[in-house]
Amino acid sequence: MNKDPTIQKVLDAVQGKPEAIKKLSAALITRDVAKIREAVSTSAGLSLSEGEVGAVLASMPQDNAQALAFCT
Amino acid sequence: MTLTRSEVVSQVASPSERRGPAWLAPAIARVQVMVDSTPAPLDAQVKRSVELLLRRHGVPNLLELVLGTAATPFVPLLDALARDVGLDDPRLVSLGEATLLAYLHVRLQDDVVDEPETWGRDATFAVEALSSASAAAFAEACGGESAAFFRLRSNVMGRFAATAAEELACRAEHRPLAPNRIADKFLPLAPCLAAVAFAARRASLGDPLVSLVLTLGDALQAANDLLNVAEDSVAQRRTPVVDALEAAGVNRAPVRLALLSSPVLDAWLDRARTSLDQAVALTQRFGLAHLAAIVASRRRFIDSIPARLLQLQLGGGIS
Repeated sequence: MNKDPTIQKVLDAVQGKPEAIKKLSAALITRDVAKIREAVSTSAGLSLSEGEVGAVLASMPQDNAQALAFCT
Repeated sequence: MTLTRSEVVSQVASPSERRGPAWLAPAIARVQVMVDSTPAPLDAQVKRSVELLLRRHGVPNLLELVLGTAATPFVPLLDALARDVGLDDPRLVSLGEATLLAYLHVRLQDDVVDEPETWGRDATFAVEALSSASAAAFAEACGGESAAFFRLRSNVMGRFAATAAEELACRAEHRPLAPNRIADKFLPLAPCLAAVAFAARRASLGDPLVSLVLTLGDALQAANDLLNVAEDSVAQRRTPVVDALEAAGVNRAPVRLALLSSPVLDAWLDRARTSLDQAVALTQRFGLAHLAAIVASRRRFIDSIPARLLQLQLGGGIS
């Protein structure tokens, strides 16, 4: 469970919608607020303010060294 | 009170307290006896390997480890197969013990190979102690079928070892492991399932169960490689998924988002689903209905990978 309600709202909105996840991811790569708002709105029907998009962007690590203990 | 190995078989929790199948708690208790009774100086290495494994998974004990969603899937698979072949006696405790010890053996062996400077040479002997204890528990369960079982185990673990050596060579030469060998990483699970069949005097299921592990392993390793893409990329581990991203010209960071927006993700999810379907069909062909249901239930996990990747990227971790 995410602590940030905005991130949880975004994750809930795209849950079970692979195409929405794909479009949101492509928009997140650009870090362009307008593109991210449009991607979430058109593919998942969620309206985000610029501040909320900022919170989402701030949650992303600057590098990819996030630990993940996934193993079988 | 410290129990002996033979006493723990009766330590089955009441149904209201039980978590996991009835054989699991006594099997874990036996493993704990082995860990606690390993002679010095090996005991420190064996205990350290278990503690590190628990810490990596963020769990307090072995029970939580094997029941966790991101841990080895052996408990539900072994239990389902036991129901399919009608095995319901104390040998299940030995099979659970053997399987968990085999898991600890392989994990420590991996750690020693990956981080030799952390573990030191004496950890090699701790690996041997875990492997031997696992073999003894397998023999206890398989009884008169032990010779045939250990022939199968030797063949399977020989192939596993060859692939592990090949993976090391791949790392040294900065090339990916061939995609048709990724399932081999799951091979240690095959003797554990086959032992259930041998214990139930269903030796003819041995080879089909190896095939099952390879098809299921292909699906699960594809899932692993997708979920670990960021860590593998940072560590410069050229998994087939990382290699496919580079071949597609998708090598920009953040790599999870690059994967999520790339056709490479769809291709690997399709591969995982196809392998999983083959695994289900195989189990059904041999009349293993409970096992088929457990294998089929992994479909939901594979379908959840895009959402899990996005959640990881947004700092949510795996729920």
